[in-house]
This record gives sequence, C-alpha cells and structure tokens, in this order.
Amino acid sequence: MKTNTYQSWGRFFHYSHSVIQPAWIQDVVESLKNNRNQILLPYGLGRSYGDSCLNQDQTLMDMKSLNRFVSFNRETGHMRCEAGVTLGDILDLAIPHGWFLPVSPGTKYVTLGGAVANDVHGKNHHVRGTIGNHITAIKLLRTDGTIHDLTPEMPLFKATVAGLGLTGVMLEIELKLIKEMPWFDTENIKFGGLDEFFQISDESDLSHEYTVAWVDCVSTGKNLGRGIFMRGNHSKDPSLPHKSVKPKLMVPFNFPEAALSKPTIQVFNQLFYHKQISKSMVSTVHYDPFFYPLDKVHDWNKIYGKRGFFQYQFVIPSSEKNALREIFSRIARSGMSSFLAVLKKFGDVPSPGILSFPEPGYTLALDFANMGPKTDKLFQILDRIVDDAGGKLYPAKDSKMDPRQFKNYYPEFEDFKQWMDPNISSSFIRRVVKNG
Amino acid sequence: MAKNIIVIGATSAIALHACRYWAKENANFFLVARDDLKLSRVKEDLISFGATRVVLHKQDLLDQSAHPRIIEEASKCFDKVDHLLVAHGTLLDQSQVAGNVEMAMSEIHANYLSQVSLLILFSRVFVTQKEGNIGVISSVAGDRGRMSNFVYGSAKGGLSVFCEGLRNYLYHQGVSLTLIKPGMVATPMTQSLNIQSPLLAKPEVVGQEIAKGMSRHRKVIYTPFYWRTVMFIIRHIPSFLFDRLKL
Ligand SMILES: Cc1cc2nc3c(=O)[nH]c(=O)nc-3n(C[C@H](O)[C@H](O)[C@H](O)COP(=O)(O)OP(=O)(O)OC[C@H]3O[C@@H](n4cnc5c(N)ncnc54)[C@H](O)[C@@H]3O)c2cc1C
Ligand SMILES: NC(=O)c1ccc[n+]([C@@H]2O[C@H](COP(=O)([O-])OP(=O)(O)OC[C@H]3O[C@@H](n4cnc5c(N)ncnc54)[C@H](OP(=O)(O)O)[C@@H]3O)[C@@H](O)[C@H]2O)c1
Repeated sequence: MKTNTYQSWGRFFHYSHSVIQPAWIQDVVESLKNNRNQILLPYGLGRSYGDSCLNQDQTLMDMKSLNRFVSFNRETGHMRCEAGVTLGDILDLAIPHGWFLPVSPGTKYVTLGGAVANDVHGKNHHVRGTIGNHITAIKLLRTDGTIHDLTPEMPLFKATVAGLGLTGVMLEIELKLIKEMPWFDTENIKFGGLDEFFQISDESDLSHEYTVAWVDCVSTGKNLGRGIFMRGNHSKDPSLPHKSVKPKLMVPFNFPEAALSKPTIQVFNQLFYHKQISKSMVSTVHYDPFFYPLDKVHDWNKIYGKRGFFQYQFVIPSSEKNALREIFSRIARSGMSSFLAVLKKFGDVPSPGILSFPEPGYTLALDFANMGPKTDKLFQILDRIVDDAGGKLYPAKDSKMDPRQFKNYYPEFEDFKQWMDPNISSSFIRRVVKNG
Repeated sequence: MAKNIIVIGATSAIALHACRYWAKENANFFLVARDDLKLSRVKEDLISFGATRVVLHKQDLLDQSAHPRIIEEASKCFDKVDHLLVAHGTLLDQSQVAGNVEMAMSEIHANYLSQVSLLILFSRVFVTQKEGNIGVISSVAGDRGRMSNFVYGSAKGGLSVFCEGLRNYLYHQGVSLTLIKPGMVATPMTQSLNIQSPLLAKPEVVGQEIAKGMSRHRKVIYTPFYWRTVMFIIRHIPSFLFDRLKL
C-alpha cells in the first residue's frame, strides 16, 4: 500500500512510503520472502521526532499489530513480547502483579522495538542506565530470512540495541521488570539558576532513583536557567493500589501557528514556574502524571501546526558547565523560546548499544517550532557549542545533523557498519552517512 | 471458579482482546481457528495474561462436515461452558465481490452459513446445561444495506436476524445470547482499506466492551457505543434520500 500518512513526531518531514502491515510474525517472514528487492525500515509508533523512523519513497514495515505477549514469569519478572507491544501495554499487564518497567521515556506510547532501537533512557538513568541494560534476549529477523536469537554478550545484540532499526527486524524482545510500586514519593524543588541546579542534582542523584529538571528557557539575566527540579522514589507504602490508567484529552487538528507565539510560551513558562509557590513541594503521585505528563493530551504534537517542530537533544560532559550556561543564554537571547526544556544528568552506567546515545554528563532536550532559516541558524550556533564541548546529539530526536557531525559524534559507526542489513535503510542514515 | 470459554475464530484481533479480559480472571479456553501458528501465538498471549488452561483446535470453518467434531472436542474439555464467542468472518473487496458469484457465495458462507451451522450445534449443548451465554459478532453493516459492502452486510444482516430469533428461543431455556455489532475497528480485516476516520476504534476497546457485555448477559452491544446512534440515523434516512448518497 502506498501512502503519505506515516510521519514522525515532529511532523516536519512529509514523505511518501510503501507500507507493509504485518499482523503476525509469519506475515513478516512471508513479506520479506515476497519482496526481495525492497529497501525497508521497521516503524514503531513514530514517536521519534526526526527522520530515523522514516524511509522516503521506500518501504516501511508497520510493527504495531505485532502486539502479543509471549510469556510473563510473575516470579522472576521476565517478560517476553512481540516487538510492537507498547510500554503502556507492558505496564497494564505488569502492574497488577507488582512489577514495573525498569526504564521509561517521557511517553508510554512507544513500542518496545522502537524503545530498544533507540536504546531509550529515562529519569533514572543514573541508577538503571538505558532500556538496553534490561533486555535479556532479542529475536531478530534479517532480510535474508535468517532468524537470530540474540543475548547481551553477542556483537549483533550490541549492534541491534540503539541500532536504529538498521540491523534487522526485531520480532520478539525479552526484558526483566523491576519489583516496584506504581506510585512515587516525589519532591519538586524550585531553583533560581544553573549553579543551584548542579548542586541539587548531584545531591539528589545519591538519594533518589528518579531525577529531572524543567528549565525556563525564556528568562534572561538573574533568572537565567531557573526551573523546577523533580525527584522521586518508588513508594514503599503497601496500602496503595496496583493500578494502571487511561488518557483523556485529544488534539484532533492542527493548531493555528499563533497559538504558539512567543507571548504564549512566556506565559506558559511563567505559570509553570510560579504554579509552585513554595520552595519545595512533597507528594505521592501515580506513575502516569509522574512519567507521562504529556500523554494526557493525545497528539499534542499537532499544536505546532502544519509546519511541524524540532526537538534538539544533546549530551555534554559534566565538566562543561559553561557550555550549558552559554546554550541557555543563546536560546533566551534568540527569542526562539522552547516550550519544554528538560535537563538531566546522565550517570555512568555503560550503555549496551554500539550506537547508544547516553554517556556521563548533562543532557538537555528542547522543543522548537519550525521557523525556517531562523531555526537553522540557532541550531548552527548550538551545534558549535555542543561540538566544542565534546558533546553529541540524539538521533531519535534529530532532523538536522549532517555527515560531518554524525562522524564526529558516533565514531563507533565504523564498527557498527558491518552489522547493518543490506536491505534496510532510513532517511536518517542516508542523510548522515554519505552513501548510507 | 475459573470460567470456561469457547472461541470460534480465535485468531481474530477483536476476539483476542475479549479473551485477554477473561484471561485476567484465569479462565480456561478452547480455541478454534484455521491456522495453528497463529493459534499458538494466541495461546501464549492468553497464558501471559493469566489463562489457566488453553486447548487449541485447528479447523477451517468453511468445512461444515467438521463442525460436529468441534462440539465434541469442546465438550470433552469442559463439563460446563460459560461463554461461547463466535468471532470468525471475512471482508472481501466489495468491488470484486459484487461482480463475482463465487466470491459472493464464499463471503456468505464465511459470515453467515458457517455461523448458522455452528450455532445450531452449540445451542444443544447450552440447552442441556440450561445456563451460559453465547456471543456472536455480527456488524453494523448488517443494519442497512449500503453500496460499499452489501454482500458482507447481507450475510451479517442474516446473522443478526438469526441471532435475534435464537436469543428468543434460548431465553426460555435459561441461556442468554449477546448480539455484537462492532463499527469500524482497526484489525487485519480492515487494514487494506486504509481507513483514516476518527470513528475507527481500537480492537482493545471493542474486545473489552464485548467481554464485559457478555459477562453481563447484554442482549445487543453496539461497540464502540456511539454506533448505536450512528446506525439509528442511518436506518432512518428515507430511501429516496439514501439512494442518492454514496455510503
Ligand atoms: C513525548 C515524548 C517523550 C519522549 N521522551 C524520551 C525520553 O525521555 N528518553 C528517550 O530516550 N526518548 C524519548 N522519546 C523518544 C522515543 O522514546 C523514541 O524515539 C522511541 O524510539 C520511539 O519509539 P516508537 O515505537 O515510536 O518507534 P519509531 O519512532 O517508530 O521508530 C524508532 C526506531 O525504531 C526502529 N524500530 C521500530 N520497531 C522496530 C522493530 N520491531 N525492529 C527493529 N527496529 C525497529 C525504527 O526503525 C526506528 O529506527 C520521547 C518521545 C516523545 C514523543
Ligand atoms: N474489523 C472491523 O471493522 C469489524 C467491524 C464489524 C464486525 N467485524 C467482525 O468482527 C469479527 C472479527 O474480525 P476482526 O476485525 O477481528 O478481523 P480478523 O482479525 O481478521 O479476524 C477474523 C478471523 O476470522 C478467521 N476466519 C475467517 N475465515 C475463517 C475460516 N474459514 N475458518 C477459520 N477461521 C476463519 C480469520 O482467520 P485467518 O487469520 O486464519 O484468516 C481471522 O482470525 C468478524 O466476524 C468481523 O466480521 C469486524
């Protein structure tokens, strides 16, 4: 089927694809047999922001109907699923039995296959590392029809985790859950600037499994880098119910561009900061608002209108605090305010994938409406600061990186190349690797 | 006590999600479908969700002569049946079916005749036990003939009328029948239609509504619920107007 309805979360790229929609593993095997010449890419739920889940004018294999569970050991917490099962599905099944996801990104509407292909991280990176650290087995189908049962010590496993879908189609994935409550004892602490953030972050990483900060990107001068630090631990209160929940709101159509004008964002940032009156607020919250505040509004990406938007996420070494200051002041000065700026310090748990993004240091994720050349210019400035600081960008979020940058950020690609499936490709990899 | 559940067409996406609901209550299953690879995937899924025992029976349901054996095998498994869910069906391309007698007959066989045969045979089991619930998946397409799917629709319409009558008969035997009319659902059946409609529901939602409705012995379920209103309107559009539309 030919269609142009498959997009990524940023809605910036408008590509046409041939699409295969297998409902069963046998359909995947079958369709590879029948289409030996196509260049394909597995597609999860398109929650990647840029073009790493797109394959312009080629084939996408939509994996979301492969959403059956294979086994769930309630004693050990080992769960095996087809790759299209979502993190939300996993929580729904696991929570009533006392189990929880070891790592979760900011949305539960991602497939397990997509999460592994980007080796995603969450607010507990400093304790548990990436999702790949909790994957115990992968069943991978290569386009030559061979099936590989991968375990963590195998090189093809290390290539497939964070492999951007380029090593083959993951059919089944096994992960090890953690025995924890779905409730969190949380504390939100206001900080006035980056220095205060650095201090609270270092302290909190010792006492809290989950830490992240929201930073106001609009204010300059003495308010530069102010924000709210959020930290939490799984609650130990056994009287709380083991329950999961469902979302309500929807954004059914594209917002007019004005809705996201600078004043709106300024007001939003002000409100967010001042919503919290006291210096510190303590509460016990359910996992849904704690992990997935944005999931409350379905398709919130449509508020950026038809032109789409970008996310910019980098990591720089912890010693490069000045670079971080510079980035915040550049963004504030540019007036291209970001709706959301999420700041976190990655820990030193080694990432299992050859191309995994996380490494020790500060990671910042920012949203920018697409304002054409103006946005490009700002990104060039930010890129330079990131490059000079020895940092790198996250492919899952990227729409703009060029081949020089990719080579510089991911020298491991030279090693990775040998594991790529010759009949798999993506718009991203063609963009960042010459002859990719 | 764990429920005993028989599902015909158990590899259907909608049926799977209904079954997950019962699996969470540790039900036992007897599953019938024509593809054993798919059947074993469904079995693993339901066991993951908590099913106690899952027995598989491979059978192409268009082979009517094999129907009595299904009932026999199922009866060997369970001394009492709590729910029977009849879920199988096909949706062929109407533009081809309308001009092809073979295809039209096959569509009617897969969506009406095979169900009639199975329901008559299974009714005996329920009448003997004098309790239990039968769920039959028909469709909103059976509520009024439309140019886009009237061969399929007529089979579903026949099935709905058959079920209304059977429900009336079973009522006097202590047995309930739930007639299920889904609207558009995103499953393998509708995938090639590439429907981009806000009315397109998820099989998770529909499956769960079906299991809940059957557990409560509901008589007719439109699922998702808004299809009751949509179909009320469609049924009441006067013919002189209806014929001008391209529905
Ligand atoms: C609101 C929001 C918050 C987010 N927060 C975070 C965060 O905190 N941390 C983080 O790390 N990321 C975060 N992300 C990014 C997101 O977690 C990743 O982009 C994730 O990979 C998306 O999964 P998906 O199922 O949508 O896959 P897609 O985006 O569709 O695909 C992602 C990649 O996976 C590959 N793939 C998919 N299925 C398979 C398969 N079966 N076999 C092989 N390859 C496959 C694709 O080819 C592609 O390369 C966030 C995204 C959003 C929208
Ligand atoms: N999806 C919708 O929009 C929609 C709307 C209204 C009503 N319905 C009804 O809902 C029911 C379930 O359909 P679904 O949407 O879940 O689609 P589905 O996943 O395609 O399920 C249909 C199932 O019926 C099975 N089947 C068909 N013919 C068979 C045969 N001769 N012998 C054995 N099994 C057979 C199929 O098996 P194979 O996989 O082996 O072919 C398939 O598992 C059907 O009765 C359908 O008419 C669906």
